[in-house]
Amino acid sequence: MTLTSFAYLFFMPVIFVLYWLIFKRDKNWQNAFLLLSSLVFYAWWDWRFMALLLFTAGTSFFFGKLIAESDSEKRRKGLLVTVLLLNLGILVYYKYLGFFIQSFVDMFSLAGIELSVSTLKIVLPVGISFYTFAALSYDIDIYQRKVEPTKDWLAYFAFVTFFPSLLSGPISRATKQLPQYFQKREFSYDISIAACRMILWGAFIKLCVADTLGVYIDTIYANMDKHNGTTLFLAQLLYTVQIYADFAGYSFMAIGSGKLLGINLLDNFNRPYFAKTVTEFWRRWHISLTTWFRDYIYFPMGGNRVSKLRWMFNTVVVFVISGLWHGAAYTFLIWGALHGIVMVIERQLYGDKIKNLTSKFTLPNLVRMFITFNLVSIAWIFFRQNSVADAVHVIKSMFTDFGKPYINMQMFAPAFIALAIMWLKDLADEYGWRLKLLNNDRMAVRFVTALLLICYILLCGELDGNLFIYFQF
Amino acid sequence: MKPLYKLLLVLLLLFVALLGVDFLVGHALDKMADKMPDQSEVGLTHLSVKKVDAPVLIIGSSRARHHYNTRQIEDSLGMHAYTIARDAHFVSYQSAVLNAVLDRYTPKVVLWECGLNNLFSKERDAVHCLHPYYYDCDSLRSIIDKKEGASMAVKMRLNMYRYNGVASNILMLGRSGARPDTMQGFLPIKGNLKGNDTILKMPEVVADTVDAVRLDIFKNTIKRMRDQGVTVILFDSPVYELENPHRNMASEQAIKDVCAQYGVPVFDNRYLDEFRNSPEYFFDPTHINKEGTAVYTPIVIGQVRSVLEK
Repeated sequence: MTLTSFAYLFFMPVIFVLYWLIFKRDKNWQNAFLLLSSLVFYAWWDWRFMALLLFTAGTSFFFGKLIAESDSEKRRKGLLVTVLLLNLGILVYYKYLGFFIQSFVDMFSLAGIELSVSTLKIVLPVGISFYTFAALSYDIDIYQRKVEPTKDWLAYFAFVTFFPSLLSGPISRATKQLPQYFQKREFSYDISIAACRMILWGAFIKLCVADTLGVYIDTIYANMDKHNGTTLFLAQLLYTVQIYADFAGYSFMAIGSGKLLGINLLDNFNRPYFAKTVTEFWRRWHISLTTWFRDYIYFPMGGNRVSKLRWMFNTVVVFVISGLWHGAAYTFLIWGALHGIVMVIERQLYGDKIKNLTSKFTLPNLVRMFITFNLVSIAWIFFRQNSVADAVHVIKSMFTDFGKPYINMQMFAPAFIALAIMWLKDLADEYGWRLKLLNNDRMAVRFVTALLLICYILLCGELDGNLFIYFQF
Repeated sequence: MKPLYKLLLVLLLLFVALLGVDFLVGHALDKMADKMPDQSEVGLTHLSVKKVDAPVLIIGSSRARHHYNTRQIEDSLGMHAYTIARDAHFVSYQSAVLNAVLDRYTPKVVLWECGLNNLFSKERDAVHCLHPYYYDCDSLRSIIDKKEGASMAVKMRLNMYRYNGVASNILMLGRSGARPDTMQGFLPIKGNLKGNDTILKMPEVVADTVDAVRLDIFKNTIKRMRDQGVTVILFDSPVYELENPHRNMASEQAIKDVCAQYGVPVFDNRYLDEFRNSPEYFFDPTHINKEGTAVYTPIVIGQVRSVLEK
């Protein structure tokens, strides 16, 4: 079950009604029901991995308690390292073992030694990167004395397994989300209406922009050899839009679903393609992951309070790790490294001014946005392609093999109308222009807008189509 | 009123309004679909399901649409012929369309280029574009349900869902993808093989398995046609060689077994001498061009005659 699936269309309303009508008695009832719902939601995917989810949540809960009860700093550190090794070990086993073994074999192969290793076929448990990070944040926060350990296991398990964010985030943080589970949630009409709007908007950009563009992009990349560089360039530009619409759409739906149940999730996107630098892009893209890496890896490495050379090293390392978090492949590693390197270069070019660039609608800012968009787009090539060789082929073709682009109007027209609507809304939100439709003061306008969006989704959305791109991570 | 009930009421109102709009839009699209030009993709499906009445039908995917000169076949057999093949629509689509045809009338001859590899589960096999006709014909509906699950019965209650993905083409009045040079469904391709096109990649076929649902749909369609007295002939037209020699033969064998069971002749024309080492007859490794069609159609006519004369 995904958030755009037919099953979720029934699942969410049933959970919503039961939650507010029957399980509203107190926070324990609410948490117990949320936990049960989340387990059903997860089991819908693959019930076999439910034990893994509960194990990760259980160990982080248990070790959190031990860390807090320990007086010795050495013991606290030892406990933290143990729980990190345990849960990251599971993540490494499922996600990276095959990659590491293959890299090892490749290394020997380069030296002329052929090793024979049977290919590992390990099924990746869905959402493992997201819930592992959520659980680890709890232990690290306790270790850093930012949060007190809870004795309320029900609240804790409800927090880690919370179904709207379980599969693809936003990555929950104990400091911000966990306290919400310690008190009874009260129903709010205004918040619920806002949540419905977020879900609708998320579904619109996912189904009508991301998935319809995805049909074209997948068609092109499945037959790369048959298309000229201009078509590959167009497909890459559209992929840049697709991945935003896909992941932001998912995030809006997840955040909206959370709000419907009285839980506020972290914001994940803030119109990233209006960023004027790659540095700013990362303050707007996948915010919950960026802040996770910032707080738990970048800051402990010294952040920017170190020598310039060390700071450069830290930045690139954090982004390489971020790349590897997305997937066990050299393509992701290069994607992360490219972002890190560009950020280092930007810092050299702009200096401290990088933090104070105005957000006004000016020509220099438009040029900066254009450059940033294209840099990010080029990096996405490595993110999208299956191998470095394919990525290099795409880049080479884009700059050498010009020709008439392959365009299918039947595929393009509905996607481009939706894309224009999305872009207009983002533009208006970015610059504070008054373009209120879903949140117009007049109820009739809100109602008609919602109705039109639903009709557009039904008529032109790619229904029962692609999974969310970030599910694979 | 309690806030929760107020929210539920608003959502209910929205749902009722949606049903109203859905009713109007659905009926408008039904009318518009009927007026689509036959040369458009949507118009071709509409014609295939609702209007075609030729005694000789040619069906398949792109290889059927572009390889069989319908007029030449019609002149030679002395019966009206029509090609109802649609690009990139395979066994399940073809079976559903044939069932819809059989609900209306019984053609005399069906030339079916179903693609001997098309029962493999990894091969595309969408029936999405048949959704608008879900309530028009029981056999078509049962194929969609088999392919896409029982939830379709609920989803199809919404007219707009039925037209999902098709509406944009209808609203563009079929201009997108319409080919005016189509002749009774037949559309010759111009152009030749070039560069990397000569290599046919099909590695995934090696490890693939036959899709049981697809096989069942195919078998039932063959059986129904034979029960109604239709002369069915299966074809697989020329390819520019280079198929994977280690490929899995399961799909091919399954199709041939069904055909043998129901007395359906199969003409495997993939490796005809006339086309071997003749790149000038090909547009790409799996499609022959206009020149190739001129050579291929007489061969097909000869094969059809040999069956009809028995």
